[in-house]
Amino acid sequence: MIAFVLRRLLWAIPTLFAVVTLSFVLMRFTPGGPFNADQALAPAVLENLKRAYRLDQPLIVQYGDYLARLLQGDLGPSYSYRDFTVTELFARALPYSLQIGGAALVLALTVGVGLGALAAKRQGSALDAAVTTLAGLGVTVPSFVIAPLLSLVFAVWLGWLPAAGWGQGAFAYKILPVVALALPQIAAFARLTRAATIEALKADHIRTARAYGLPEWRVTAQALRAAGGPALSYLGPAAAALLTGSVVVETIFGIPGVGRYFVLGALNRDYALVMGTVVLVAVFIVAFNVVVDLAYALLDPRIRHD
Amino acid sequence: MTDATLAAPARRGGLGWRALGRLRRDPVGLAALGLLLAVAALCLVGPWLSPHPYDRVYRSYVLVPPSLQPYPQEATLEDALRSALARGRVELKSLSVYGDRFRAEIAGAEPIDPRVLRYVERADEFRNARLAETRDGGRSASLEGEVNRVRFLMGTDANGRDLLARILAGGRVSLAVGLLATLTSLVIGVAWGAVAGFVGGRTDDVMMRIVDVLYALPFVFLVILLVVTFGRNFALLFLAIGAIEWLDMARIVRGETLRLKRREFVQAARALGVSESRILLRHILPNMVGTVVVFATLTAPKVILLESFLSFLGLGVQAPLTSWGALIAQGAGSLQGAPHLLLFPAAFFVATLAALNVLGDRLRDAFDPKGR
Repeated sequence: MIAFVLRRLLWAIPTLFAVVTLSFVLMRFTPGGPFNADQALAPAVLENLKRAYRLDQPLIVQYGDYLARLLQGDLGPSYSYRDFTVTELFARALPYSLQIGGAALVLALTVGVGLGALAAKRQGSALDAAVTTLAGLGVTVPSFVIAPLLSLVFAVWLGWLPAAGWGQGAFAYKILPVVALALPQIAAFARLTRAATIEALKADHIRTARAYGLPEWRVTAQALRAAGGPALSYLGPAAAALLTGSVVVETIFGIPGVGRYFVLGALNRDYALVMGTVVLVAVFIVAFNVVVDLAYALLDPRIRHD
Repeated sequence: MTDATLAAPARRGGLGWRALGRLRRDPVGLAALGLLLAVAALCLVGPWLSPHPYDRVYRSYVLVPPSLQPYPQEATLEDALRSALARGRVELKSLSVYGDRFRAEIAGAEPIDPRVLRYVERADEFRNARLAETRDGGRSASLEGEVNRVRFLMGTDANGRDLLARILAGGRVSLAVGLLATLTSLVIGVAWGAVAGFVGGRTDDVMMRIVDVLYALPFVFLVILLVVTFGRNFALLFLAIGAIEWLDMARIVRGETLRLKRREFVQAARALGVSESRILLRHILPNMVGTVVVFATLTAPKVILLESFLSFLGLGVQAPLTSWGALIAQGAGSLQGAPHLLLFPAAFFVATLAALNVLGDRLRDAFDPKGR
């Protein structure tokens, strides 16, 4: 088991390294630069700026610089937010995204898996039909549509909740963004869990468990354990996506999270900010993939020997 | 002789044809297919039938709510004509409207220049205006013409453009994008996943590590780089988007391949001396058609959404051309005053995507060999 964990962690290092290298190269070969403003800068000013940020060095030197700093946990100065380092920007914005995303993740996992399992147990019932339909809709309707619709209904028409803003972290301000983020994921988890549980309930070991007279909830638990696979493999990307912020939801609800930095960084060719977001997301994804693989191994011992 | 004919000797045709046959007896699936075809046909033909070009700006009808009543409303006619005439320094004395025709008495300090008609024509409310008779040496006249009655079934946007026409024009873009990028992702994903899963070993390791690396790149970052690089070349851009949407497909196809290649029928085929490539093409790939189709129906909405997301950032379709996503983004910005700008495009969008999804589900059931 320990060997398995170590092997997965070791795989993570070259993956991260490849991601950093690839995006560094991609970013640099994209036309434009961080100082291409609407008003052209004087050549001397441009020279000085480039020198100040060491952009006048050969690419390989810059790459080495970046890696060396990265290993010390320094993401470098932002080019578009001139007075901040990327680390400072993230330190300020990440807590918002983590709060909203974490809450959405917990909500999506519990409600989604719960609904999916319930629907599978009562296959063919009205509840099953409702869950299937809603999950189908939820998978198709993106947060892009859900977020403004929620805002329209609950903030503009009913006036129950604030339409946007952070409100010093007041609970009411978080409800709509969390729900908007979670709904598509709830649908996805419910769908995956329902399909897998239906399959799992047909398995021989479930029939055996029933024959032994185990209480129904323990039979269901057994089936869920076998059915966890698809939901689990979806958990990795879902968690990384939720926790690193959604540009759409953060824009619509006016939340100062990290989501917008993805877009702003790439649009402004803010090399350091772009690389920072890449590293941030990559770390999340790789970390969650390792966690998911471990959970897989816990659920299904056969995997460890593969 | 293939295993398909062994399994069902009475029926002819390949797996796909029989699945379609089963879909034909499924009312829900057919309804979804019908809805999808209807939306596609509407978007394809609608813009030619619509009285409003999607980029025609009606300055007089900005943000009007959806209604069956034609515009202009009677009460606004007098003001509209008065202000149009005022630009030509001509005064409106009286206005009478009979059905679609109007007659106005006008007067000016100077003899009336017929060019004042241009101001009347330019107003969205009137057309075919002409000076019927002039009096007082041309200082007063009768103006005749037609009231230009137009309907905005779904209202207009903040620039006074007909929303229905824009939704239909945007639908063309969104559907074309969905189709193009999904096909691209399907081809790459299936080929990559099937080869990785079937060959296995070191090849599999390397191929899936590449997928992992691409996975770990933030998607938005890749897309924005692509947009910046490919610029405004629409088709190329969405081929490129399809070319990065294939990762999920590759993973799923690989998983299915791994599962299928251990099955008895593959061993049987191998024992009968069927070549490796034929096993993959004839025995493994057809068995995952259902999974692939279902996943493709999940990819299409994702791609359509991605395009809309880019439009939202101002990187996608360029104005005045539009797409459903761009329309929804505009609607999301004007919830307070004009919810119809969000509701109608969202309804088209959701209906199309839901139909795609239901169709995918039903197709999967139709392809499922257990349901035979």
